[in-house]
Amino acid sequence: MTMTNSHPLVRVAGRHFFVSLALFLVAGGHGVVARAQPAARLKRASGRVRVESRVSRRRFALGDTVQLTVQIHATQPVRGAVRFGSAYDNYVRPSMPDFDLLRTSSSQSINLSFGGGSPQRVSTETYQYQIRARRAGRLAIGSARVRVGGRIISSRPITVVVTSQGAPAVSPGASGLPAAPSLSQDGVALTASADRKTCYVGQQVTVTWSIYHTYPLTVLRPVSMPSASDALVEDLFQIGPRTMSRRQNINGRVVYVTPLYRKAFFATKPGTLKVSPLDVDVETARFPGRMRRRSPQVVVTVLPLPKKGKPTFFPKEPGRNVGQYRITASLDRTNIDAGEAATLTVKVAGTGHPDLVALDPLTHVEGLKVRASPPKSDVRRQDSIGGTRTYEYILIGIKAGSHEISAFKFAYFDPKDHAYHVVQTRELAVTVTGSLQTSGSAGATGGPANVLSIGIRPIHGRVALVTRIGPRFYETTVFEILVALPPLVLLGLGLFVLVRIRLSRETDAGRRRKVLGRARRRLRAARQKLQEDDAAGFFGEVARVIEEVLSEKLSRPVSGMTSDELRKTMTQAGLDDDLIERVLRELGDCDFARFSPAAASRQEMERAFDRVRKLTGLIDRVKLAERVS
Amino acid sequence: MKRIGLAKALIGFAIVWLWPVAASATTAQEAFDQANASYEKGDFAEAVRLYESCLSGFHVVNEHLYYNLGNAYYKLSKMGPAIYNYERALKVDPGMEDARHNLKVARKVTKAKGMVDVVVGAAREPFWVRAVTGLTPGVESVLFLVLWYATFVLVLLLFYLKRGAWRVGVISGAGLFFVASLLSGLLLGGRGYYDRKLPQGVVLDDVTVVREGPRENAAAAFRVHAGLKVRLLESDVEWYKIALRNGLEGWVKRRQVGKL
Repeated sequence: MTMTNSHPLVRVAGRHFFVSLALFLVAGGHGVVARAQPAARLKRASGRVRVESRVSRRRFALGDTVQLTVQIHATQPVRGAVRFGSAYDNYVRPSMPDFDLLRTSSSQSINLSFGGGSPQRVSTETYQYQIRARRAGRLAIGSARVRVGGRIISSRPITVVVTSQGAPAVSPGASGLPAAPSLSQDGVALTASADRKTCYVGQQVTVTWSIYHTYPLTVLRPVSMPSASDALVEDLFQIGPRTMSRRQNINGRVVYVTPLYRKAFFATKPGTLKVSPLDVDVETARFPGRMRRRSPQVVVTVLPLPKKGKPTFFPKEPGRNVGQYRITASLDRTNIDAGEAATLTVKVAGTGHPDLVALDPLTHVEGLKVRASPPKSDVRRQDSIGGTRTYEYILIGIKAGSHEISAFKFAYFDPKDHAYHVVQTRELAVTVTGSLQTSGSAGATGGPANVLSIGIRPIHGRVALVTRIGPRFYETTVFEILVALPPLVLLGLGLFVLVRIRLSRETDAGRRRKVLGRARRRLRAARQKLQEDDAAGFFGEVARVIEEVLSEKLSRPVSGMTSDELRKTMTQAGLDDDLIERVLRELGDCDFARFSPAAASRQEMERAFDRVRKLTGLIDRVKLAERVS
Repeated sequence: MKRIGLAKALIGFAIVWLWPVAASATTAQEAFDQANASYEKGDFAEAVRLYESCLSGFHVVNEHLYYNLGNAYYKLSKMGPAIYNYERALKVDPGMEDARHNLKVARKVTKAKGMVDVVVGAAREPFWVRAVTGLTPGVESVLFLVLWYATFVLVLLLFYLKRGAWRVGVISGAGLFFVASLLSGLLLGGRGYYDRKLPQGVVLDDVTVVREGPRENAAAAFRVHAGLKVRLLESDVEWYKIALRNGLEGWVKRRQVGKL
């Protein structure tokens, strides 16, 4: 909790004030102008400066460290060039005769505001003091003072109450301000601070790791993360791209302070909570090269919960139910038929870790069957961990009537006031209609009627769990293949038949191509025989060439025909007489040469070869008058 | 010889396609049996967890699994998920009498809880929707395949029947089957369009606020209750746009509606 004391200051700034302040800025020194201005104007000018002081806690134990913050706010209108001179001087820190001053730091922020028609320079200078009381009792902290043009502006004095013992003490790193590190030459240091040195088991201890650096960081990589045994840990903060560093003046040296991690620890055993150090590798813009820094180990004393005032039903397990809690219970239905179910929801919510909440379970309600579901936790991660622990019970109606569910009692220990508290829900009731209980046969024995309400049918236990593809079968690839298969098979079959028919059919052109091909092969063979001076073989080949080409042309075999028959056939086919004569002569010459090969010279064979080649071309090209049957 | 080769190829094809189903069922069966045991012990929350693992972990689609899951949710007094799973069971097997009975009971319970939505002015489904949803998708698929294959078998017969009265009869039969298969294919196509483009869902939460837009802070349009069947018009990462039968439309979180 933070308390603020502000001096009642003059807030209204009139036209005269701006004029005087402008003159003040132009003159370049407030002291001179302040002495030169009338007293009334000085009074108005001092109204734009106010001094506030506050302490982090007003009530604390002897030995605790608290933080005293003094802030001086000054607002100055800007005319022309912005000047950064101070609007006050002679700052005097608060007198603290009963306190030890452990550490001092200061910082300053300057903003330019453009609201209200004219630009204004708003500066805030902050002085922070860590102090520790020397004795118990009501102690006073004096006023902080500044002088504005001869006028003294001061904050209100503060009175705090220091108790001799009791509450767990706060460590030097309280309020998120870790102890000042000693910066080495490279200007980098890692700190770890806990918000308390002593805590109760189950109470939250927040540990913050920060890095102090004089120069901007270029590399920051965690090497080992802190951990603790016998404690629940929750992450509260982790450095990210948007994490801002703040400037801090430590013993006259300006350093950047960047928060790295903040974690909440909940000790689950009394004794000592030891949080292992954090190791990081860093590199700064000024000193390239990786440096490893290690934070100090954090040690917190964990106290057991006090025995005094502990309720008998408080959980035995240490660390349970520490915080501030409230409890609620609700039913989704209050009237059910026998065999039907109602849901009872019990919620324990508040500050403290929900996983450490323990509530006595509901085991039995007369006339109802109770089924408990596993409890669920909903953790809220803010500065202090909190959340809700939810317990669900299924209540199944068995017996007719109104069945009362007694109130749930929940006991917790509040570390703030070091006392136990008990909260409880209101009582609830479920009314069941009908009954599932059989009490003998109705009527004959005079017992109650066996009322059977409508319920659901039982599960199907002994079935094979086979995936049914029926509902989505038509969307599967198998279905697509099955649909495409018949037309594809039909198409394939049709193509097969078509090719087969085509292959079996011999056309005139095909036959002609085959005969001409064969004639070419025979002519090649004839030339070969010519080279070998095999006259009989040569003339035999060329004669077969003529006969085959002629047979194809006349669509009938001619090899067995006599000369007269062949002449007649060719004449009928419409071959001209000259061609007929040439064919018959050539065939006759071939027959003669075959049977008297010595008569044929090589030149004669070459001439015959040329003649036959031309002759086959003529026979192939000739157009017949009619087909020879 | 060729016939044996074809048979081997078909068997191999069947193994490749059916293997994943068989393999998943082996392990899913264990989870299913454990879930049944938990249910019988009265640990319905554990039963739900195990049944859900069969769905999410093994992707099993089985009417008994949906039915048992619906029962477990019913026992936990979660009527929205119970109705949703009974509807899923009936979608797989429309003739499942137990699911139909339990769905009726679950709806009765929601009514007793006061969670009833009376959709005023609900329009009747258009004719084509009633036509394509008259049969289950499985029956429609099988019907189409039977007619389709019959058509082609008759066409193949024509290769062997060169002439005569039989050939005329086969040609007529093939034509009739072809027309019938086209009609059943049309039904199946309509079913596919209906399932893909006009999916339905069931409201899961006891009370769901339907909003004007897909935002948490959008104005509330109306409220619906567990078990109500709605049409899913659009969806984005977190939201469904739903429509009621009377034309009311709005947005709900995806987790508040189970898609059928």
